[in-house]
Amino acid sequence: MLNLQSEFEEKLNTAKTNYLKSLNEKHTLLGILKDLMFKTDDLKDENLVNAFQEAYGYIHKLSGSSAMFGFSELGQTSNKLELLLKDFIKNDYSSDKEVICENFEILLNEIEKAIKKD
Amino acid sequence: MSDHILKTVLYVEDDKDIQTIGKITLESFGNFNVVMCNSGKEALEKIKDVNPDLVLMDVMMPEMDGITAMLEFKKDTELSEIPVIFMTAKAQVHEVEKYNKIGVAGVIIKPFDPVQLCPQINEIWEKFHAKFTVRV
Repeated sequence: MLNLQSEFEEKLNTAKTNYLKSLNEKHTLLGILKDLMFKTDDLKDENLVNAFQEAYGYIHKLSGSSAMFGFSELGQTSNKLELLLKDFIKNDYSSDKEVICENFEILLNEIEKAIKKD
Repeated sequence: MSDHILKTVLYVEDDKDIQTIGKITLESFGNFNVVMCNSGKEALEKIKDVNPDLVLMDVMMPEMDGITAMLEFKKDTELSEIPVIFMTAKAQVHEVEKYNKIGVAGVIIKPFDPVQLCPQINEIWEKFHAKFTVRV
């Protein structure tokens, strides 16, 4: 069991290093989506709707994977934003956009913290 | 303990990061032979060649989701007895009831704990075969 555990931890550390590299890319991408999402309120703008849906997809994945790689705070933050976005999309983009914007900012900071910490 | 040996797992997951951690876990702790697929569609294409003992599958996936893929397996007599475990974040009571209705062997909630994953799979595997033996 000890050997299994150490073999697992060794592979997990390699995977975690790669995951951290991918967090950099995720941070950049989410930053671009955030700019698209909050620059206009015009729901006829297809880019706005697409940006929200794309962001939801990325954050859903981040919420699922980050906790498994040991980033529990990032997991909680992304899960909170995932649920907010889900409701926002479900309510035809009519709920409080400011709350989403604030939580988006918190998430981007949390990603930066995770990258710096490791 | 059932006489059935769990060796080959068809692991169906579209998220590359979760694929990585899932595969490492299944190989390290379960000593399983793991074959990866990125969608239900790919699983449907590969399953007969792989001939897995178990399918471990996400629900929300592009191209073909887990539920559709499982229903396709059930239509085929060669595949219908292969146990399918859903590994998903969509695990509210009504969702799990829906999975049970279509005959899923078990549900593992994401995010999963890597240390607990293989014991959870083995438990579902044992229950599935115990039920199957009683039915026969």
